[in-house]
Amino acid sequence: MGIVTSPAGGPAGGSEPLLSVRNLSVEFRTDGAPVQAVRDMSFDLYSGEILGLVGESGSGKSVSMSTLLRLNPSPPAKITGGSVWFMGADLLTVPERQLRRVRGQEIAMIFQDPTMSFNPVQTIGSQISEAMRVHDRGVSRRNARLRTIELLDLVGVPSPKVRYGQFPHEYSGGMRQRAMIAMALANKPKLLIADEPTTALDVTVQAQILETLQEIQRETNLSIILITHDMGIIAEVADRVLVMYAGKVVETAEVEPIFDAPLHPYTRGLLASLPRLDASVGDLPSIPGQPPNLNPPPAGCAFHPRCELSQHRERCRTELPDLVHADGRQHDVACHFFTELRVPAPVAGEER
Amino acid sequence: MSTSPLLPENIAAIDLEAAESSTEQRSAWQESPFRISMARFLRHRLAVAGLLILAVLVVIAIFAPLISPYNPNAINLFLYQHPPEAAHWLGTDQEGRDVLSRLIFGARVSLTVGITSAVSAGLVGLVLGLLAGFLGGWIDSVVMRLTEMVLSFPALVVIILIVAIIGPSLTTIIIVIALTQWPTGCRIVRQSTRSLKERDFILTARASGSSDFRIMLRHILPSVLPPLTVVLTVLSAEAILLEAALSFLGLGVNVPESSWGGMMQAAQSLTTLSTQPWLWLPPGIAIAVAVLAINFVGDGLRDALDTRQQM
Amino acid sequence: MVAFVLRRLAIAVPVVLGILLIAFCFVHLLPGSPIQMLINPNDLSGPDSTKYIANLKAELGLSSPLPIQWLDWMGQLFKGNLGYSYQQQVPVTSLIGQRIGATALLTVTALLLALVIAVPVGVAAALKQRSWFDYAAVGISMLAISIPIFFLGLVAIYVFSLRLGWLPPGGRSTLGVTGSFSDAVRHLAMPACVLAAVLIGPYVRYVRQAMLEVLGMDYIRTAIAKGVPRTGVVFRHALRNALIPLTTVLAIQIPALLAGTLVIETVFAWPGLGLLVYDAISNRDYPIILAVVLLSAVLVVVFNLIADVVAAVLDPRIRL
Repeated sequence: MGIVTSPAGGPAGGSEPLLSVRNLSVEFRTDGAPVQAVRDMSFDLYSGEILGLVGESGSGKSVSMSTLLRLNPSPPAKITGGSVWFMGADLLTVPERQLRRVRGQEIAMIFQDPTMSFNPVQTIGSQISEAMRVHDRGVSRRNARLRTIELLDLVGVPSPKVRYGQFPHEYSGGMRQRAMIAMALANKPKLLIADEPTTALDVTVQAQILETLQEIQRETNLSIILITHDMGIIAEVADRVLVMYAGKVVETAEVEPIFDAPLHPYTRGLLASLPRLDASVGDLPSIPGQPPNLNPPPAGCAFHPRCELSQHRERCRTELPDLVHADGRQHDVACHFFTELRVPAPVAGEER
Repeated sequence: MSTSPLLPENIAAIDLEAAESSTEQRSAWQESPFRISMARFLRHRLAVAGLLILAVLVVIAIFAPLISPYNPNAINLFLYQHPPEAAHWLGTDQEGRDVLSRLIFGARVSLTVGITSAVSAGLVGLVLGLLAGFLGGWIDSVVMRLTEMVLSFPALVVIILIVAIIGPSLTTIIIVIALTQWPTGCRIVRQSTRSLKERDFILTARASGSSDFRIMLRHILPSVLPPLTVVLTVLSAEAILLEAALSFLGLGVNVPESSWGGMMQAAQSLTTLSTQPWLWLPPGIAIAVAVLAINFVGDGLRDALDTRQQM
Repeated sequence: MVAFVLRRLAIAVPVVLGILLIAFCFVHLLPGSPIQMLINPNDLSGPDSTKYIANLKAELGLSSPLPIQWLDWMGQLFKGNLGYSYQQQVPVTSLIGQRIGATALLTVTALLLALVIAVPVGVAAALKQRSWFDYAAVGISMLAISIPIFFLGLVAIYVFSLRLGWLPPGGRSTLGVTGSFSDAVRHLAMPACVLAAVLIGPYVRYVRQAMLEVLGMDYIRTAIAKGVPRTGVVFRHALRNALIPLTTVLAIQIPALLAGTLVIETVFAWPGLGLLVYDAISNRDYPIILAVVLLSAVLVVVFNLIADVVAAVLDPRIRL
């Protein structure tokens, strides 16, 4: 049970959110007890904004987003509660046929690219064309092909005419990811969910892909949810940030407050452990301990065993903290004692 | 404090230490890959059932003389072709021999041939597979071509040919079956070896100066045994079916007890087929049950050992 | 692509040579010299026989060292001389020619039947994993690979022929009846179905396994995420990929298919190559057995080659 927070108006100025997630909960049934992968997640997304979703592996960030499009197969995943409001309907309950019209057309999703995100026996071009023709039967093969070549060019794939007829294994990792983006944008969606799009790529390619995404976003006012574990990317690209831990949202704010004045001990720990080029450090601090076992989830705050602020206080152990407003600028945090934090965020080494 | 182990305070300390180390040992053992695999295998009800059935069959085979009601070779023409009755639960055959007894002794022949040829084939496959996979190069090419050649011949036909020429002794049949089946095991072993060869722990062993032979024996062999065990079940199943077909066609072992397949030879005549089902149904069912049990065990093993192979 | 085919052919050549070598070893185990089997026995009797035999001995080198004998023997093979039947004194090639049609009919029918049943069942089982259909499919295929072929044949004859009287117990046609399609079908039905049953076991398992693996792949998730309807996902993406290993499986199963054909022909008295071999065994007519063994092995190599090429056509990654 969480307090639903509705930030007053988004950064783009529009007052209606494009996407509203309320109390989303997902569990996984494996051989043993069910695992609560996502617990009571709520947030809003406005058009034109880039929302960064940060957390470590197992925090529930990927599962929550793929649940928006109901992409998780039903055993073992199970949606145990919540709603996802998009264009006037709850995506979690609409019939499959209707959802299909949303997938790839209104909301597109791209994934990390280990080699197999594209069908290996079909050409990249035909797969991108398929994305178009699946939603609009009227599109002729020729037109789809032309548009695909345009898209490939847009995302920066060289010699798009030739590349149209090539197979996925003939593309490099970075190019494949660009092709993925092209495919996702084929039907001019309102929202793009990017699940760790650059994690599998080299740093230089990473930068290029992010730049491409930003360019496209600027030109089309696309909303993007960017899932990552890399705070550097968040700093570069995101407008707002959602921090997840053990299946729950523990902090949300615009990007500057998150870096300048993080309020949740976990976020502070994350930032403190970032190496900095402009400071010299002895040992990099790290958050002690391990993420908790989520079957069953701990009763109180999931982070408290590793939390310096908590010091194993009773309230942290037994009572799950709700996400509450910390200040007027949409900075919400789920911690019982965040008010005790007076000092600015710790950084490794000295300030610049 | 004196360090004599018999002093009371030291005994307490020793107890604690012993308790601690035995807990460590126990928890280490509990999490050993072997135990995990065992647990996973035991969760497969069919696999466990298969194992039990096999155990029963093996027991029957071993204790055949004690279990069998009659001598399987005792010809008694007065008991010619009796249908199942009180004195002979599965009836008698054309020479008055008790079918049930023959069925029980048949287990001996069928299972012996099946398991022995499978193990032989497995051994040959293991050696050649290890060498081919690990040493690579021309040895690998030669072994691969050899497996392809052998696999191109339909096993039954080749066995028939050789047995027809040389004669159907038990050893011959076992050897010939093994000769046609070794490539299956070899391929699996070679595949495993090749993927293991590149793993870090092999590179470490190499870097510390172990000889090739040593590496093969101490590091690769244990990791190759699980998939090989699965293959052994497949080989046994295949061997039993081959031997059965061979005997059915009249070319099998000519021991007087005859295997299950041999018992079914009589069914080649339509009259026998029609009028004396007790002669050919029981051995056929016995073969199917045995092979089915082996296949269940094989499947269970395959699943149980699957995650473990992610070493 | 052409390079791939050529490379594949190049690999096949040593295998065929090896097969010929093994076959030659078999020949050597037989009584009599290898060359003797290739001699037309009609030429051995008659007025000029002594001179003929002397010429042959010189020409075919009956006393040459083994490797030369091997080459001579292969030479004869390539000229189309597969030996002469001991019993019937006719060229083996003509006997094979007479019987091969029946075997081909039986084998091809069984193969098609097996595929038509196994592929949909395997796919459906994978799609509805853990349903009763899946368990049934897995169970029946397990049973199918465990039952001896001849036993299944015997049971089929017992049930459908002797007890129910629906189908004839064997043979290819009823005595005296020719050109009747329904008669031919009634005779073909049981042997083809039993042979197909033997194949269905492994096929269902492989198709199901391949389909399950493919369904877990990332590109399936991508296809669903971009809005491809379920049928599109199953056929255009999943099945298309799952069928690629199937060609290899089909090729691997060919030797088993041939062996099964031999047994089925024996059980159902089907007048094909298998029955020919079986009779030849009883008659110690080795040239026939040898020729058929050789032929099957070469056939298998050819089919493996075809399967590899087909797989390369279907999967662009293999062509590299």
